[in-house]
Amino acid sequence: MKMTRIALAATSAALFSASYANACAVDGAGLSILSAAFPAVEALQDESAACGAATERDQEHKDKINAALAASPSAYNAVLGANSTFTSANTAGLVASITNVPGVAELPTSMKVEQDGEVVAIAVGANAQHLMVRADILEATGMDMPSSYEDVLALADAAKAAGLMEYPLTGTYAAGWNLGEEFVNMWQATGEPMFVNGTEANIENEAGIATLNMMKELTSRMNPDFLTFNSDAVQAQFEQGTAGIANLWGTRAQKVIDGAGALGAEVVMGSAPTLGGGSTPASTLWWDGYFFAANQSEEDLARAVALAIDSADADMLAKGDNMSLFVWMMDSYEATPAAAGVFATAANGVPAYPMYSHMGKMHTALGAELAEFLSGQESAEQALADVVAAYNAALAE
Amino acid sequence: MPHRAFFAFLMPSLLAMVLFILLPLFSVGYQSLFSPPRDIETISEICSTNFLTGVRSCEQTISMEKVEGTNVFRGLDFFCGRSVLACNELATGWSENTQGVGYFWSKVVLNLPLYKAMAFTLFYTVLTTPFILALGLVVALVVDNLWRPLRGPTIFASLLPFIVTPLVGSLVLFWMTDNTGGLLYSITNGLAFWADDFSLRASPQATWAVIAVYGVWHVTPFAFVVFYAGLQTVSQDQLEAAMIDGAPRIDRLRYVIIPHLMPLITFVLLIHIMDAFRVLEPIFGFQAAANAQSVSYLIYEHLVLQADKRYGSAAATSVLTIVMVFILLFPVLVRTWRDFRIAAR
Repeated sequence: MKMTRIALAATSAALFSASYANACAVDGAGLSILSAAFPAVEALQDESAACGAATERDQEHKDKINAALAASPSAYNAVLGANSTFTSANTAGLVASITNVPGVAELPTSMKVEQDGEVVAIAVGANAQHLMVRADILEATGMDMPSSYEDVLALADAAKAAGLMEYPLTGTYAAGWNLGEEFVNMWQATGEPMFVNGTEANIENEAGIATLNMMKELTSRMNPDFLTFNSDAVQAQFEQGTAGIANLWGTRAQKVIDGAGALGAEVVMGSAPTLGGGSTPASTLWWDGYFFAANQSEEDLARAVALAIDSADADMLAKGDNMSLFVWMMDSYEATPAAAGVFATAANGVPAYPMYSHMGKMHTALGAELAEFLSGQESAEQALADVVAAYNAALAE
Repeated sequence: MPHRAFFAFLMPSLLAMVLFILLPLFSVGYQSLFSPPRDIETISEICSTNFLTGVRSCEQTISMEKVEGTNVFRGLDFFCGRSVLACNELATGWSENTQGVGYFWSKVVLNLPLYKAMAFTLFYTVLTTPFILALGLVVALVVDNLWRPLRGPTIFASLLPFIVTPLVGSLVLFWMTDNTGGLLYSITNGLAFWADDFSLRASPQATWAVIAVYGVWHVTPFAFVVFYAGLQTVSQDQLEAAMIDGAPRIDRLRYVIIPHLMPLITFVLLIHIMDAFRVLEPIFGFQAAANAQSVSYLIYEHLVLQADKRYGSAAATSVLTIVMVFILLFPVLVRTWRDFRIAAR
């Protein structure tokens, strides 16, 4: 098995090095990298593949990371994941420290993710949910780009009153992961800590009620099917012209611009709104990037890190439309119009999505227990109590 | 056939059943009582830097260190946890309850994940079964009485819902319930509701109904094709004798055809109850997790949607699913056994 794998890798390395010989500073033969399968990470994977590395692109990659990295030696040398998958693998002790690997020290500070002073991951791109509003809505209502969620409510009401759309406002409120993320985003804007004394949940309080009430205010102005809306559905509503205000992922910005553009409308990108007079945007900053298996030889680790750094370089950005695929963290990145929202949100000091090991359990509990409140079957207090009960049950297991 | 020869023929299949069905069942049951030893938790600090402002943010996190060792006996811990039977939650809910059984049922019991899922799963199973049997029989009778050259194409068209992959089938129906012009939405709203904010996806009742309609649509062809095959073996002599005796069509159906199909009806009933209790795909197809969760969906949530896999709760829920399927099948199995005893006598 191992022999065939080596033979295969060698053949592909030979094939690729013949055609891309001068583009590769690092020999990737025998290395393998697991990633998701959206265009920005595929652009990086193409670079590594050209240097002879085996690249596996899988939208469901999160389900196999921990099992694959736990093998000895690990089934993959590197994973091109996000802060959520990194946290899960890191909590299980499967991620290598790369502080002393050549090339790491020279990286820009924002690309280095550190644990107890050791570099443990290389961030390459940033993502955050931020406000997107169709320009014609702002013109027709004579209102400015909203900076707070209170303004968003007013804008949505004005747009409806002006007869522009039946439900101008939309959002990623699908029960499950999306709904949990909406709560976390809104919660961050209250400035309260989500946990106290380590892992104890701290959401059954005024901030929790305020968060839920704003979510309810927003969803009461959305199409009643909002509990089924994931990012695809929200993007589709912009493309169909049935909605024109949303707090949506930066990675969708270009598609929303293109989609609304096909209808002859422009979309304004802005910072995620604030809540209740606060100054923190109701969003979380996510990073996508590389982390490396602890279970591998030092020599492989050094080559994998060198390959990763080499894939995210100026050459890659210069190819095709790679520059517009992401908000890249490399120094050679120049922002495109689609990146304006993520930039504005980051400039307003959006907090990073928490990398606590217990955050995953809270996120799942939020996604599962808040739907009944938003559909009016439960009180806010009851919904928060259910979330905490579900979270505690998961924690105890 | 002598008993010995009968058993010799049956042995390989019995052996395979024990190996591939009985042992895994016991294994799940056994595993639901144990968990690996608890990991050692160490606290560390993790930091990242805002790419634009350069502000560094750090937070405390817990790392787990795997402990090698034998599994720990947890008894019924997982079964009693909130995600499964929720013994403690039920007990406190009952003792603190002052507003009657109805309140306890709707606000305490149906607020817990397993009971909520159980309610939907039972609703789906109980509601779809009679419709599938009745519609399957009606379609089979209609096709059987069709003009011969039309039968082939009709059978093919009627089988289509069963051939379409459940995920795709439910997605098609999901789009038809879209409240910006979906066909099913427009028809229901036009005929019954006339409401601007009417939605087939927003309330549990509507979601449950739509999924049940999907279930009937998807499984009826299975019942139809089984019944249609059975109709081909109805004794023509018996039917002719009934006609000579002056029995009208409805009596021939009631006293000749349906008794003849009875074993097949039992068969379809058994298979569908088992299938319905495992309902999972339509919940994804209909994005229905907010309003409808089945028992299988809960297991999926424990094993896949959770960042940290919850094998204990998943195993306990699986065991309860198996027990529930047995309870549901019990009346049918008893009936089959009784018929068999009567036939043997």
